[in-house]
Amino acid sequence: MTNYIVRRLLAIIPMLIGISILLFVLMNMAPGGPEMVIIGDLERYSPSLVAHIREQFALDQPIHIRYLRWLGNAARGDFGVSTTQAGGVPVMQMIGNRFGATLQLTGGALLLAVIVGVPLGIISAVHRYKLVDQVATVTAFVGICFPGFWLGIMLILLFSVTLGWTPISGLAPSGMRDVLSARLHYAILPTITLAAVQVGRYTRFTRSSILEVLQTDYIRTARAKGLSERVVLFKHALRNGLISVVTIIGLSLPFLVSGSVMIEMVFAWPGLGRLAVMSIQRRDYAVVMGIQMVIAVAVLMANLIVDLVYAMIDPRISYS
Amino acid sequence: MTLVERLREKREDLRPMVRRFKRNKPAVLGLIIAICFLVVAIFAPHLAPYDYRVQDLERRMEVPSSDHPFGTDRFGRDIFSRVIVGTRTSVYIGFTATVMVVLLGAVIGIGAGFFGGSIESVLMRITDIFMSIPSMFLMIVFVAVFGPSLFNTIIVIGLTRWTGIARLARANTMAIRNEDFVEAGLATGASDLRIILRHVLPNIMAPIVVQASLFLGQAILTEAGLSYLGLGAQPPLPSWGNMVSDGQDYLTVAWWQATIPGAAIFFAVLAFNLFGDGVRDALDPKMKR
Repeated sequence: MTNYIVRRLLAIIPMLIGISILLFVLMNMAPGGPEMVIIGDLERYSPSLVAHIREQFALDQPIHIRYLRWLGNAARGDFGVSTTQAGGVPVMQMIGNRFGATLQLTGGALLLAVIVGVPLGIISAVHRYKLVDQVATVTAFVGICFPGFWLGIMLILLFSVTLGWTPISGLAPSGMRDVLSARLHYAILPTITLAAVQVGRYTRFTRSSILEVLQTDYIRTARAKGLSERVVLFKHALRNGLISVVTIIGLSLPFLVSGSVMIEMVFAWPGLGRLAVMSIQRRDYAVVMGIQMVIAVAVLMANLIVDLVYAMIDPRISYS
Repeated sequence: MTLVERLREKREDLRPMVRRFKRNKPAVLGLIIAICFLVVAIFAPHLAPYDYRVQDLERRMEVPSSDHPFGTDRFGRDIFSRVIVGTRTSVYIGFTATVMVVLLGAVIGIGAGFFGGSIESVLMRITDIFMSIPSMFLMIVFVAVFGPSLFNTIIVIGLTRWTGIARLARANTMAIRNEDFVEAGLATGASDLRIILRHVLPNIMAPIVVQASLFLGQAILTEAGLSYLGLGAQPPLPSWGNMVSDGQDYLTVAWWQATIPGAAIFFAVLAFNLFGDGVRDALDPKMKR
């Protein structure tokens, strides 16, 4: 097992290099080119300063040399400094300040979506074509069609503006960030919104995956030998049906993270997505580059965890 | 066989699928609503009672009334007219971005599946890289490169969302590649391009068409999201996404500003998704449960 984890971790490295090459080349194609990536808005600086910075960052070097420099620094956790924050705040520090907020939002939403979506799919499959199945199927379908950002705004309109139950936006007032109840209070709406657009997906996949298992021969055998429906469902069907559900949850992680960008903007949630959008608008490319790499690492690690969860729920899969 | 005969034969092939689609009531409803959106998109300038750009500062933020059925915005512009013109933006992007995604995905997927070897490994590694970056983040980078505009939205959606189609096309192409008729074609000296166009493409069309119709709703959602972030259609051109964004600032005083364009997104996506599901069930009855 340890062997497998080490191998997988090593396999992530070429992926990250590929991702960083793609992003580095793209960022260098952005208006303003490599100068923008490192110094930002050229017009704000005197020509002599620009010349100095150009030399210091080797901007007169060809792109592959610059990439290797960036890679060398990035490997040590240094993504450079923000070009729009006064005093040149290190990108890593800006990311560190916001990573927790994004992790809380996406993690909470994932948990909520799984807790609601998977059981709903199971109930739906067991009571196929009954009323409860039809209600769940229609709800799941409609849920997928909601633009997450609009759903968030509608929830703010109802619960914050009209009823006054929840705060409109933000993570929590600065003095209250360590108070759990305050954080939860602020997190309710964004978490529900982000989860809502995923729940439908999980319900649909769980339903079809359980239905597929329920049609297999061994389920018929289990029933034929007189096992109770409860034992058939929980001991035979779920174990197998949920394996593909774990796959889908793993594959949906990038979508969840994409969705969090929108939700963070709607609720002024101080996470990485919001920082990325604002940095693009300010052309703070060093920050954008750093965020992309951190997000890529997070997604790749999450995929590894999903694969390890497989081995836990399916004894047929062994990693050695 | 003349062209007419061949077309007639094709229509015969499609008949059972059309019949299956017609029996699927939600899908037909989706198609009807989708056609309504299409008609509104095509005739938008004629249907809009006001010019979407004209400001009337005397009548700002008016509640919906008979003059302005969806009210007015902070510049006194008619929201009804802006939603109608926004329909054109969304439907146009929805279709063109889907075409772009399918073309890019099909070329890469068929290329990888047909040629195999190092071409395949390179293409599939690129696909893996694109899949491991959450698409919204990747889109943000592409918008930075190309700048935000209506046309670039198509490019950006195309360049970030092709991976699903590519994997599908590759898997299907690999299956066809090993068929005897492809081997026979190669043996008789037919060119790769001819075999791809004449034998591979027709045989992998069905799953790609299914994916494309399922993607239409996704494309509309994505465009709305980009516009909401200010990275899509640029003002004064109305898009449902940027109208929601404008309206959010006035949520406490003018609820209709964000609510109505958002509802339009929801119904358009619902209609196209119903249609897409119907196409899937009609073309691929095995998938239906």
